[in-house]
Amino acid sequence: MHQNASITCDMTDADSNFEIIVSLQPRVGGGTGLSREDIIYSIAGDMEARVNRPWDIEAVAMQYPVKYDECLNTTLQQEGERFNKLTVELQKSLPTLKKALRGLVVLSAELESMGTSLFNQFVPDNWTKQSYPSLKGLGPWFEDYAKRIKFLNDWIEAGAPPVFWISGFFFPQGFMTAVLQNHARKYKMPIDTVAFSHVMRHEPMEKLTKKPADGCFIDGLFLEGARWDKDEESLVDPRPKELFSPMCVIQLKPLQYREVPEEGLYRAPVYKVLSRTGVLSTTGHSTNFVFWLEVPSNKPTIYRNSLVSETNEQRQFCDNSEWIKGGVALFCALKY
Amino acid sequence: MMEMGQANGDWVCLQNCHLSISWMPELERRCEETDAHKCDEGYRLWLTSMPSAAFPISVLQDGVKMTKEPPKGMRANLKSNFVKLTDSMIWATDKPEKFSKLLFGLCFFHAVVVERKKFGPLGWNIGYTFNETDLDITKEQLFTYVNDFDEVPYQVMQQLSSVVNYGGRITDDKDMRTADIIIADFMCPKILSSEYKFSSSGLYYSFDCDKDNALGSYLDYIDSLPLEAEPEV
Repeated sequence: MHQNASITCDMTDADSNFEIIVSLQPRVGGGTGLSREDIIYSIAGDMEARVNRPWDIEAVAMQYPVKYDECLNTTLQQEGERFNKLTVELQKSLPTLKKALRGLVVLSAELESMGTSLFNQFVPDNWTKQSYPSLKGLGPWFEDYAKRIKFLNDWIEAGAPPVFWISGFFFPQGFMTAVLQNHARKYKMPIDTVAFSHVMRHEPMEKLTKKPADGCFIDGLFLEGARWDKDEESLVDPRPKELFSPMCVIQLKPLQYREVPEEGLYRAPVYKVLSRTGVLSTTGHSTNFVFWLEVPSNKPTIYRNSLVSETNEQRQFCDNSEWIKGGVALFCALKY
Repeated sequence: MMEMGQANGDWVCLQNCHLSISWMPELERRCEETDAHKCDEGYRLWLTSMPSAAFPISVLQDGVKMTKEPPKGMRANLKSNFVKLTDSMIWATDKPEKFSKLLFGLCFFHAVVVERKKFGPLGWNIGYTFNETDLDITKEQLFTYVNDFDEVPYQVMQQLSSVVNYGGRITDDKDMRTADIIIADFMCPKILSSEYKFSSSGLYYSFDCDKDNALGSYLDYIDSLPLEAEPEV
């Protein structure tokens, strides 16, 4: 593993210590400053002011109907519905909490714990239940939420963007399947014969103003344990003290009967959040793992047998032992 | 038994208190009733337990507490596994040179997988509790395979250790891949050469042990390693 791993290790230790310290803080503080209730009240008020109305899904469905040649419309509708659920929860719980603090409604156990979370800058449980997985604290979480809402809002208002911010989705796998299906329908291929190849793009995101002919551009991934060098077109060791580095824009290019490249690759797992573990849901998707990204690497290739989980087939994959040992992976969202 | 000990001044040891939770209130009562003036001076009560919420706090507060934690760091981990060995165990097979090196590699592998945990998700996706039983069974298998075959079946040993013994705990397919890769570095023909390095710095390597004092030479080598390991392996 790289030197940076020691930093990660120390930071994990520090985080868990701070968590204990926060939980041991006394509830009643002395002194003259704002009381605990006042602080919670103002946090809740600030957030309430920034929460938009949920989208009118029916109107969105009119504008982006379910069509044979554009499956992304379905993705948009589904994502919109998921975000609406979260928005409604925010809209409902924030004013109730404020009322409860003023003594107008009963302060239930749920509201109480929500208040404590807000005060300690954690995301309240009743929100996480409706939310995408995230490890962020309250402030960054809310910024991230606003950014995701804006991403979808721009899509609804101005049409699909040339580069998709993959981190903005609740369910990136659904988005990717939709892209595949688009391709399959466009060229009249059976969808199970089509798979993505991954093309690393040199251009910065701003230069990519048009959708590619096939597939899509995605952006918003971060690398841990390695760095992408666009001149060498390879994964390289990270810079000292740089724990995470942004990944370049990637083109997901669907190909029929795709031959997996024979060498010069690292199969990097892409996760939603840093914790890496996920729970398998009934659809066979992990709550955290998104897909294997084949990143070019100029380190020596190895070959290993592996089970393809979708089909239970044993296959030889080419891979890279150094990056595996280094635990190199990509993430849609970081912690801060 | 406690009463007998109190009368005669014996030492009483009650092991694994976490397994008899229902009896804990009784223990608490007995401890509180113990009167130092009535007991024999030599009486001592030893209790052993895993961390448990059911263990009575008052008993805990009255006693002297000792904790045993698994060794931390590559060096401590390797050492704790080697002090348990003896020379005769290292020379037990009919191919002692091979076995000793593979055994060292195996213990090193064990230390690596245990130590990886401290890096959190960067090391393993899930924090597995690999322990000495995993190492013991793999050691046994290594012994059998080295003895029964002319050529050590490396592939078989790799699969047995990474998929069956250690892999039994691994539930994540990405971690499985990591374990496969790590074991391949230690269970391979290359480890038999004395130049084989485990890491880029060359600090960790496979070496020829002293014929007369095999264990001693390993322990000396382990003691020469840095206390805090760099994350290179």
